[in-house]
Order: sequence, then structure tokens, then C-alpha cells
Amino acid sequence: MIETYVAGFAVGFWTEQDRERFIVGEMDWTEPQLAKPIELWERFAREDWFKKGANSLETYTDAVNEFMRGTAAHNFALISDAANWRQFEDFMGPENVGVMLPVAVGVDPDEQTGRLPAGGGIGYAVTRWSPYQDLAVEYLHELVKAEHMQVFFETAGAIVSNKNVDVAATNSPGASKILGWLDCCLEEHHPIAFLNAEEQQELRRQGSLIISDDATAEEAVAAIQSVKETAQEQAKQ
Amino acid sequence: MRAATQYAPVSRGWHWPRPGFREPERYLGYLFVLPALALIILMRIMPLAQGARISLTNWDGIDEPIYIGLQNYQNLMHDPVFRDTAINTFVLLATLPIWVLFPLLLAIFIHLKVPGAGFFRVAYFFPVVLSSVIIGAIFNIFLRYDGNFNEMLSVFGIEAVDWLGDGSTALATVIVVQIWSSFGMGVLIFLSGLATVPQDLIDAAKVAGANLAQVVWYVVIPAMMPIIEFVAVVTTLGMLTSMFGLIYVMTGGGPGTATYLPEFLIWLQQGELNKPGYAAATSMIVFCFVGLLAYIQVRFMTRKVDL
Repeated sequence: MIETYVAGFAVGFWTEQDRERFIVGEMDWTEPQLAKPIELWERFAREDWFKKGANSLETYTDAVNEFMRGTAAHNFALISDAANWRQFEDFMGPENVGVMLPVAVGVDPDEQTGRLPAGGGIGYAVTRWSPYQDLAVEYLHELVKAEHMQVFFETAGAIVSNKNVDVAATNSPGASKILGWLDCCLEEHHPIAFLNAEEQQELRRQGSLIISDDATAEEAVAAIQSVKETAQEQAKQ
Repeated sequence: MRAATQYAPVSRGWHWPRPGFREPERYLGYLFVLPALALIILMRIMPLAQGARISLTNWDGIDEPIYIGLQNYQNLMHDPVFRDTAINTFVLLATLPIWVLFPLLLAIFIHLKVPGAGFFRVAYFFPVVLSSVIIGAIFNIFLRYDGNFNEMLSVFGIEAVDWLGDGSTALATVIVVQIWSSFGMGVLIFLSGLATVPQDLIDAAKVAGANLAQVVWYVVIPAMMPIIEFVAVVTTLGMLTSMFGLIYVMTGGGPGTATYLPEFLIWLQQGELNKPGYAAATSMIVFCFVGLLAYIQVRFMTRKVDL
């Protein structure tokens, strides 16, 4: 899960220029933008911030196990398969379900700027080799129409990106509030999504090695940088 | 010239109608072999050839593959992940004696009718019918840092170990679980082998004053040698080709590369890196390695049988 952690740094601290350099592959792992989060990761591990044994499995499985056993409600970037506003309202009553903006430090509670970014959702894509691209696009346009999103919103409890859904019909103060906040705290696309697969794999491996005390941050950075250079070299071949 | 004038008329007269028509069963034989041969060519030889071909290309699975010769193999030689996987594989192979001797010993005990032999015969075989994913999930719960096993150890004052999360114990732990899940098959094979050891030989040894250990060492094991070798070959192949599920569920290859084995590496290269050519090159190396191992072992077996 170290990649989500690094992504958090990227979203929170990188400049626009950093982003661009990273996306085209010009940012080295030895630069502080990437090396610093890994250093901190090592510090967290040495200072026992991580729950012991959490490194034993694939992160996702780890998280799910924790949730199932009721020993944690959230892990890095993963919240337990929590009920959404609709499910909460069903058993608690709409008036008892509150909502809040993402975390901010020293910011007025109603202020919508300067908060941690929040994101999520369903992404759609049409494959380049699809013989019916137009049809697929048309289908997607149909899918995100307000009337269809209305069903998704009301019955499944999804918070939809289409702001034309009728909030009044649900009679849910929480849901209407969230829909009103849709423009707040948006994040840019995760720069880490542009990480190539080789680097991502190495990052994961090194992240786990740091936790099990088999690698230092310095060694990890050097290893990922070397993988990056090899991948770039091979791409040129 | 002389020979031709002597034999030509004779053969022309005697071999009519031509041999093929007189002995159709000779050709019928080929017909019987044909389905098996077609299956082997279609399902084994052709995919293998295709794999060899892909291993010489740089391919993303969608666009036209680009021929790059032996580049993938060269890259593998400099790939630290491949090197780690190879080391893990040799460590795994070094544990072969345990994989073979453990079920052999248990089979001998059952054969010698220890109390509860019938129960153990069934109990030992039970894990064999479980899928590796289920076994992995069970042992994940059992072996986790705050799991039952560590709790049990704490009763004896032994400190908890992160069996799957520590690089120094992860591979050994996965190997032990795989042995647990598969040794039942070995026990079964050894039991059927033990049934063929002549009882009068054992009795004779006992009469001559041999104790249990001597009977096992000097009578039972020599008589079982071909079976032991067979189990060794089958187990070796199993080690290299059937541990993916367990690794995927238990460690995800980690920590680091501590539990990377060939199958898992191939899956990562193909499934996560999306490099079919690179994965095919790894597969070809693994294929040659497994083939060589099997060849050496089979040669060893046949040599013994000839004796």
C-alpha cells in the first residue's frame, strides 16, 4: 500500500511542475519529492506506527482481514466496506446521519478550500481496438444521464457526479449536503497512476522490505531508481 | 547387375497384391495412435512452439509483436527479481528429501499398524482434496502475527513470530504448508508400494534378530527404492508447478521477493507488467530447467531398475 501513501504526498505537496516531470518520467526516485515519503515510511515502520503482522499478505487482503475481524475500520486509503448514507439512514434514520468535509487543519469548518483532496468513483473507457466505439460512447452517455443516475442515487445510495439528480425525492439531509459539496476538495488525477508497472512492483516490494526491516529507505530508493532506469533503457531498445 | 536379374522376377511375382493391401492392420495401428498424437501436437507441442516464438518478441499483447531475438533472455540474466526467484527455487529444491522422507516415514508407521493406523490413513490424505486457496486462507488465519499458532507458542513462553511477514521465515513457512497439503498423496503411493514388500523378507530379518530400525533401513527402504524415486520425480515437478495458489493467497510473493517462485514470477510478468514476451522467455527457461531435472531423475531411476 506504499504506492497509495506516496500518492498522498504527490497530491498534497507536489507542484504542477513536479507532476508534469513525474508523468513524463523525468523525476528520479532520489529526488526529495519521492525519496522523502519513503524515508518517512521507514521512520513509521521503525517507530512501530504500523500494526505488526500487517505486512504478511497482499495489502488488500490484509485490510479485509482486519475489517472482518473487527480490529480496524480503516487501513491506508481503504475504508472498511462501510455502509453508505442510504444504508445508514435505513437503520439509524436520516436525521441521525451526519456528513463532513475532508480533513483540514486550521481551516474554518465551512471553508471548502485547503482541505485534503477526496476522490473516487467509477471510470469508463472504450478500448482502442473496439469495432463499435461510437456505440460504446453512446451507451456511456446514456448511462450517466440524470434520469438513470437518479435510480443509482436513490436505490443504491451512490453519490453521483451528475448534479441534475433530484435530491428532494430522497428526503436525506446528508446526501443533499454531499451533492452540494461535489466541487469541493477535488483531486487531480493521481500522478502515481502514471507510474509504470515495473516501478510500481518494485515500490511495493521495497515498501514491504522496509516494514520487515530488510531494507532501508536509502536502499529502497536506489533499487526503485535502478528499476526505473532499466525499464527506460529497455523501452528504447 | 547379377543380383538384379536373379531377384527381380521373384519379388514381383510373390508380392502381389502389394504389402499394404495384404496387411491393413499395420496402417490401422497408425490410425489408433492418431487421436492421441493430434492432441499432443495441438495441445502441447504447438503451444510450446508458440511460447518459444513469443519469447523472442517484444509484445504488449495487442499490437503486432516485434522480433527482438534473444533480448528477453539477456534482460532476464540481469533482472534481480529473476535472480531472487532462481535462488528461492534452489532453496525449495534443496528441501526435496523432507518432501519424500516425511510421507515415507508415516507410511511405514501406518503399514506397521501403529494404533489408529486406519484413522491416520484417512486423516493424512484429507488435505490433498482441499484447494490451495482454501489451505492458504486457513493458514493465513492460523499463522498471522496475532493468530492461533503464535498464541499457542506464547503458552510455552516463545515470542510471537511474523511467519509470513518476515523475509527470513516466509519461504520456509510456505514450504511447510505446501508439504502439509500434499504429503497425503505420497503416503498413499508409499502405502501401495509397501504392500508389495515381501512379508517373508521382513519376517526373515526379524528372525535374524533385526530391530525395527534395521528392518526399515535394510529391508523396507531398499525394496521401496523405485517407488521412492518415482515420488521424488513427481514431487519435484509438483514443487515447481503447483505452488502458485498458496503463494498468491498467503504472501503475494513478499515480503520483497522472499517467496517469489517461477510460476508466480511468470504470472507477474504477464499479468501485471503486461509483457507476454518476457513471461514467455521465463517460461521457456523454467520449462528447460524442469525438463532437465525430470530427465536426470528418470535416467537415475531407469539405471537403478536395470540393476
